Amino acid sequence: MGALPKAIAMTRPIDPVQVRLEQVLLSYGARLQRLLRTYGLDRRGIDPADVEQEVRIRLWKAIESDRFGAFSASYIQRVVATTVIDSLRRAEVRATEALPDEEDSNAQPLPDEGVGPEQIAGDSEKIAGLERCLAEIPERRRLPIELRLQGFALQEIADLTSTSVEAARKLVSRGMDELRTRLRECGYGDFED
Amino acid sequence: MNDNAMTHKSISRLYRRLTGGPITVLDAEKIVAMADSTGRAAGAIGNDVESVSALARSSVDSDLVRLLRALKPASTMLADNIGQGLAGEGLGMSRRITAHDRSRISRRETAGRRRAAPQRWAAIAAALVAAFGIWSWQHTDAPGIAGQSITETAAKGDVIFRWSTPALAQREDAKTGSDDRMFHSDFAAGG
Repeated sequence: MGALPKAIAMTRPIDPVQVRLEQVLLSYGARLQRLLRTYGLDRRGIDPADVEQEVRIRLWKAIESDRFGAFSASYIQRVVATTVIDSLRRAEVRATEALPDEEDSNAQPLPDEGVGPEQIAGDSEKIAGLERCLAEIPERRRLPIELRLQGFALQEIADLTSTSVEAARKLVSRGMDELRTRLRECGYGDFED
Repeated sequence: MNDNAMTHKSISRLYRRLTGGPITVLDAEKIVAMADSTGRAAGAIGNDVESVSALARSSVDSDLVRLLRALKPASTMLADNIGQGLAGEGLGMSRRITAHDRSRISRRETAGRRRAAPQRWAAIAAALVAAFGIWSWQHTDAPGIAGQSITETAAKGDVIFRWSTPALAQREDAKTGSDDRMFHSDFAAGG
């Protein structure tokens, strides 16, 4: 039965349609789990297995509530988005609750292993420099750069900014060149994308 | 600052740390809308520069949008499977949905009958109580006052007290003038 709600599983007779539905949901859930890890959301205090199970429960309940007519891909996407956002917020609350004593409230998050204090200080300086350099670039040119830095592909940037892929490519290319130049001029050296 | 000593030379990595707040800044609707935007049809999103800027300044929102974009084909397939009644190959669409609906309706009817049994007994009990109430009300009315309302009957003075308070009795008599003469001690009139 996998993670199907036990109450449902125990009260329903074996039905080929339900078995098929479970299979489809399990397959979908497995894909969701993989993507949660791929996009690093598992590093934000949420458990992909929990999120996946909650999504499947919500979808199952929706199916049980006669929502066949309204069952579209967008609806499923909304269920996933809502569940992930809820999980992230719960994780945030847990993190806040787990804060140590007041004297430690200024403590920085634990760095990656192998990262020394000098590097942390250097990175903080570079992050501040990057913020300053980005702020100097006009909004219209800055937005494609920021989207690119967040990991969006050129097609996605084009979609989000209502431009062609070619226009997005030029904006990103020129923008990144401009940003690297500014960073170099500010004394932060050469950077990769 | 010694450039060569820098370990993290990736602008993307630094930017994601800069925008790495843990909380999503956009609501689910906007995130889904952004994930759904494809091609030039994304004009509505492109015009919402504020939301796109917010997205660009939040690595968690960006990750979620990218996840949803990657998940879209699977979501579409899942929606199709559910919409088609999840039946096996070779069955007609209408037949599949009808068969599924029939089993669903049957389950619901069984559950409904189960829930209705106690409600039916409660309704019978309530009807019996109401019938007894009406019957008892009709049979407790005093003879001779049929047709009078309960309030009228209650408002009338009690005969026993009439004897004990003659002044009140006189006032009542003057008001109504229709009391039973038999219980008046009208000796002066020779009655």
